[in-house]
Amino acid sequence: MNNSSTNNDPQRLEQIVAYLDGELSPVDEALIQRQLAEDESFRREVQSMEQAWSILDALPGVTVDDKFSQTTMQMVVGAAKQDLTAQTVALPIQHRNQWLAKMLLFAATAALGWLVVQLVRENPNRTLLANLPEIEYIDIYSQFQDVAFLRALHVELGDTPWATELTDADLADRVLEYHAIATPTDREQWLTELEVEERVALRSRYNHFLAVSSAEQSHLRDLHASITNDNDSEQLIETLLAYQAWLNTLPASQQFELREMPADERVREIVNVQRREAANNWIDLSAEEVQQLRRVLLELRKQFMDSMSSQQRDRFEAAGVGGRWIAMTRQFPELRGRWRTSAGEVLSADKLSEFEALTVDEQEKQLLHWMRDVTMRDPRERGPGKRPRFDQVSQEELERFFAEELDATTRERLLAQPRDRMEQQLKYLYLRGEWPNYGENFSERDRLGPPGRERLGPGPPRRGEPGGFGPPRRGGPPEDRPGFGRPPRREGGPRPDGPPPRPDDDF
Amino acid sequence: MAISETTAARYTAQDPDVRLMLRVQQDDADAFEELMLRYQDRVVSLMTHLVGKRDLAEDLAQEIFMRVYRSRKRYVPGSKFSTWLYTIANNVASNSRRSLARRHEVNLVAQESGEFTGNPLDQAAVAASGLMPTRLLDKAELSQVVQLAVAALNDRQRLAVLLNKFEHLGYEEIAEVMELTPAAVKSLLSRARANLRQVLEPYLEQGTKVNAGEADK
Repeated sequence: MNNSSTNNDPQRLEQIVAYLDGELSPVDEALIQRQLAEDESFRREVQSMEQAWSILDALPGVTVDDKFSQTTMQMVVGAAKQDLTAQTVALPIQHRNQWLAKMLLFAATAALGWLVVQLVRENPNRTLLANLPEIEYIDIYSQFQDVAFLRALHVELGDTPWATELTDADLADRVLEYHAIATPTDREQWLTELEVEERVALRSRYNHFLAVSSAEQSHLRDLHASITNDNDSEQLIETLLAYQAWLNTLPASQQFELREMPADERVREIVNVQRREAANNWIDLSAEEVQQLRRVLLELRKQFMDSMSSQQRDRFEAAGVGGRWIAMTRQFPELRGRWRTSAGEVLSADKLSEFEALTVDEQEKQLLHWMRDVTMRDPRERGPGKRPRFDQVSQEELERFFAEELDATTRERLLAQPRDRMEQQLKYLYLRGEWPNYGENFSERDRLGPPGRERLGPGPPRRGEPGGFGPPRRGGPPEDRPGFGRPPRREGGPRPDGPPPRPDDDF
Repeated sequence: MAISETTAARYTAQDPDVRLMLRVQQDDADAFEELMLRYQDRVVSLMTHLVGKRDLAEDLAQEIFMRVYRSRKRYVPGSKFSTWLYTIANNVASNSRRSLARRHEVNLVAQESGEFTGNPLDQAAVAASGLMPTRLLDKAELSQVVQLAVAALNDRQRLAVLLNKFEHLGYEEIAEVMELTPAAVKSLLSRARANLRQVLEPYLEQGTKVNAGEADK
C-alpha cells in the first residue's frame, strides 16, 4: 500500500487523524466525509490509518499485584508520620515565631504610637517656631495691610521724631530682637530665654494667631516677608517698631480711630500728630504743680458731673480728655476761667509769665495740654520701667492719697470694706489715678475697669486676675492704654520686664 | 494560573475522582487508597511504555502516588483528576529520563532490547520484518510487534499516543499534560500515527484478523 500522498502532506494527514479522533469541526468533518465518498484512494488511506491505530490494542497492558498497593500505602503512611513528626517538632518553633511576631507587632505599634504622640506634641512648637515673627508681632502687623503704609509713614514723617519715650538705644534693642525673632535659627534660643510671664503673653498671641483665618495667617506671613526682604528693610523695621511704641502711648479710643482711617489718611494723621507734638513748646509742669492742678480739676469735674443726668454722665465718661474739656467749658463757661485762674495760681512766676506771653489760642491749647497732662502724668511717669509695684507704695503716700484725693463717698465705701480688701482697692485707685466718684457701682466698675478710662468700652479683666491675659504688668504702656507687641525693656536688663499687655479684643 | 471557583465546582460535580481527591485533601486515607487502586494499573502501564522497564515503572508510579499525596493540600480541581495525575506522571517520567541521561542511559528502549542501532523507526521496521513469518502471527507476536512500533516513537509522540489511545484524553487534555497547544498535539499525533502505520503496515491485515479472532473467542 502506497501512502506517500499523506506522508508528503502533513496537513492532509492531520485532518485524517483528527477526523478519526473526532476532533474536527462539523464543517471539516463533512468535507472529509464527502472526500471519503468520492475518493477511493483517500478512503483506503483513512482505513489504513484506522487499522494501524486499532492494532495498538494488541499492546499489552499491565496489572500490578497487591504488593505494589501495600508498599505504596506504606510509603504514604510513612510520609504522613514524617509530616506529623515534623509538625510536632515545629510546633514550639511555630509558637515561638508566633510569639516573636506578636512582640514585634506590639513593638512596632508602640513605636508608631510614640512617633504619633511626638509628632502631635511637637506640632504646636513647630507651628510656633515657624510662625514666630507673625505671632510675636501679630498686633502691630494687624494694624496695616502692606509695607506701603510703613514706607509712606517713614517718608512722610521725614526727620520728625516719634512722640514716644522710646530712646534710640531702646529702638536699637528692639530692632535686634526683631532680627532674632525673624531669623529661624535664632528663634529657639529666643524662646528658651523667655520668662514665664513672657511665655504666657506669647501663648496668648499664639492663640490669637491660631484663631485668625488661614488667609489672614498667610497675609501676616507675606507682610513679614515683605518687611524683612525688601531693600529698605531696616527702615521699615525701625518705622514699624517706633510706630508700635507710639501706638502704645495712645488710649484705646485713639488707636481705634486711627485704625478705622484709610491708610493714606491715617499716615497723614499720624504725621500731623507727631509734628504737632514736636512743634508744641509746652510749658511743662512740675510734679507738685501737677498735684495741685489735679485737685482743682477733680473738684471742677465733680461739680460738673453732679449737675448731669446719668446718661449725660455716661457720655461724658466715654469722651476723651479733650472732649470732656470741651463739654465742660461749653456748658459751664466759668469753668474755663476757673481752670485758667487755678493754673495761674499754681504756676511759678516764670511759667506764668511764659504762659501769659502766649496768644489766646496758644493759651487755650496749653490749658488743654495741662488738663491732659494732669490726667495722664501720673501713669505716664510710672510708665515704662518706672511703674511702682503695689508693695512699693508707701503707707504714708497711701494715707495722703486717701485723705486728700478721694472724695467722702469713696472714702466711706472703702472704709466699709474689710481691711485687706480696702487696702487693695486703695492701692488700685492710687496706681490708676482714679476719680473721686469711683465708688459708685464699685463691684461692677471693678469688673469693667475704672471710669474715666479712655476706652471704647469695658476692658478685659485686669492682669493677674482670673480671666486676664497674663500676669500683673510691671512695665509697658500705661494701664489704661492697650499695648502692642513686646513690652519695653527693663532699665539695665537685657530682657523686657514682662509680657506686653494684650490689646482689647478690637483696637 | 488561578482556577475559578466555578471551574472547580464544575469538575467536582462531573468527576468522581476529583471528589475522591478532595477527600484525600481532608486526610482521608480510604479515599487515597481507592484512587490509587483505580489508577495504579494505568499509571504503571503508562510508565512502563514510557521508560521501558517494569521495575523502574513501578518505582516511578509509586513516586507519582507519593506526589499526589504530598500535593493534596495544594490541590485545586482545575481539570479532570486524570489530567492532573498524568501531568504529574509526565513530570516524573521527564525527571527520570534526565536522571538516566546523566548516567548515560539514554535510549532506554534500545537498551531493553539490546539489538537496535540507528533510527528507532527503521530498527522497529527491521525487527518487525524479522518477526514476519509466512504464517499468521499469534497474539503474543503481534503484541511484540506493536510494542516495538510504540517504542520506536520518540518520547513526546509515545506519550501523546498512549494518553490518546489508552487513557482517552482529548487533544486539549493532552496539551495540558504535555504543556503544549492543542494544535501542536494534533500535529504530534498525526506524525506519530503516520510513523506507526509505516512500521505496522505489513501487519495491518494480520492485526485485523487477530482482533477478529480474539473477538470470536
